[in-house]
Amino acid sequence: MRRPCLVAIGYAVARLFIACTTAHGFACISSSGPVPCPGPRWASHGATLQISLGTSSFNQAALNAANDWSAVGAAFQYVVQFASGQPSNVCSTCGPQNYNPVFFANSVCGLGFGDIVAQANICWDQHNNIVNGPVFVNSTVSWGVYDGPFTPPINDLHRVLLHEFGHVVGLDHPNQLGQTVAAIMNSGESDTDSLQADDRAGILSLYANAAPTPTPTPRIQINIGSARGGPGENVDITVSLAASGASVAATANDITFDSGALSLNPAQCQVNPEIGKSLSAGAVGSGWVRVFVQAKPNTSAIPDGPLYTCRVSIAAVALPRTYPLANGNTAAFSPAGAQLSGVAGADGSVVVSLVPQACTGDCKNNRQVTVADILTMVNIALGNAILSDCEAGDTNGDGQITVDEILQAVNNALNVREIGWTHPVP
Amino acid sequence: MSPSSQYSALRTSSALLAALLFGAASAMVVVKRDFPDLVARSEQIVIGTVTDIHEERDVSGAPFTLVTLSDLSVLKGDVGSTLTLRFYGGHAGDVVVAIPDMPRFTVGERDVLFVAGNDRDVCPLVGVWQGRFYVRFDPTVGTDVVEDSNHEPLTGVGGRELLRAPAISGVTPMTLDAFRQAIVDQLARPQPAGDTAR
Repeated sequence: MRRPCLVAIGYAVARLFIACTTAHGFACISSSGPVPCPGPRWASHGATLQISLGTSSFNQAALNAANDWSAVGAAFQYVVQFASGQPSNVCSTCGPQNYNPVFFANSVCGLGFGDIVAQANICWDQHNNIVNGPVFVNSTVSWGVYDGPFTPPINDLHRVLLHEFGHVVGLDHPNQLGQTVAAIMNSGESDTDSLQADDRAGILSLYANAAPTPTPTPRIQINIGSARGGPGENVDITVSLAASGASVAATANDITFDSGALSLNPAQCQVNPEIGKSLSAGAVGSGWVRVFVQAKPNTSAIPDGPLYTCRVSIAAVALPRTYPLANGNTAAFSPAGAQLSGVAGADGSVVVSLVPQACTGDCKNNRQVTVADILTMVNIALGNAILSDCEAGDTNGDGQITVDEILQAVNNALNVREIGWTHPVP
Repeated sequence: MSPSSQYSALRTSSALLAALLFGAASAMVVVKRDFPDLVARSEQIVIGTVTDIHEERDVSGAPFTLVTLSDLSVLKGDVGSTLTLRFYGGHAGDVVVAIPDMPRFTVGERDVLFVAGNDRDVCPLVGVWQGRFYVRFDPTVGTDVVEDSNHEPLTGVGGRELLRAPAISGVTPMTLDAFRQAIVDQLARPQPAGDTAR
């Protein structure tokens, strides 16, 4: 049986070669398993982790693990954001770019964990740029946070995430390259609970030996707005452009959301008719919509302001909380069709509340703002009346009636249109 | 690039690319399984040769790598003439979805596999990499021997643990026949309650 013999010799030679030529044990990920670095990495020299682990101690453990990597001194930084609820769109392929949720789950995209207690799915593109690295933490096993020896069956979330975040950086297991080094990135049982010299050398090799890619300062913003509504209601979300003087003729962006609580029919996205463009929108996956504002019928620059509006339906079973509308894949194009750099965008949200937000100035709660209501507000502001005479005038809840609130009430009185309980408010 | 040409490129570029990158691993992220665990928790235990590796995507677009083994010797469970294992991960359009530490396979290699959760779990091996052993011909002993997933030769079974030795240690590796017999012996032992295949 010749093939196994040749294979064995090949492995031996390869391992000997690696042992003789590799100063460190660290390894990088590749499509064929651990390889000597470099390998795929984040072109932006950073990644944003969306952490939603339920308790403050677990979230803190995750934050500490991310900070441990950021503190090495490599040209790589983790940004940590705390999120709520279960992430969406992590299973279809890679999910939105730089969308790296860290969360408890009882399955990985419908598949059982088996003997896995935590898993990072690392995705990279044809340019070897890592684009996404969601981390699934098995909710069916026991977790704690502790230092020192590994004491199964209680898994230490900090060291596990330290390891997984190393994968998200682009590192793999040095021991599977035939190396014998102390490293949090080793596979196999270990009492190691912190980054080791080899781990630090690994991230430095990925992000310090190469010139960092300058991160352009975002100057073009495609921002998703926010809205408030109750379960079973529809709300409109406006997406706006702030181009900072750049000529933007067309845009693209993704909106991702919790599909269990919200739905967004792409057919109910409408371009702002004042910008003279056309709109194309489609669902990329469940809870994931992509919207293009196209340079048709004209290629002129879009003025700053509203680009388009999408109607979001709140599920009748949605729990009252703030649901993020995550922005992703933002892109802008010049009138000549060139893709512009420095494009970013803010996330939006839908606040699901069981308490209707009163219309500013609707003192009598009768869905109208009258002159008498405005006078009442003025009197409260002057100290001639008490706030309970018009609590609906105190929009920001600071216990006072301000000039801004009076002006808003005047606008509401002039704007006779009513949208149920969501009368236009700032 | 069409799926078929992707597949072709994958096959022809290198057998190494045949893999699936799955991972998870590390002691910290995979439940440790000793030898009796491996045997008891397996739904199938097979010795086989990898004869095909290809990728597919499910209806959601998630990529999977399918590893087919033939020339099977079945030590536990019901298996046909071939066995195809389904691992989560692979290529999805222009991106690679990889899970570090997932066992990787090469067409032509021979393995001993402790299988559980095929088509059900992200990795269909007990203990992920712990349930995969290479078989290689050792010219010094003139027969097939067994290595673990890190290519460390097994040297025997001690208590509940599989014993290993560095490849360069000169210790006589465990032969495939001896490993097979150890599995058969373990299967013949009474299984503690709760220590059985899922």
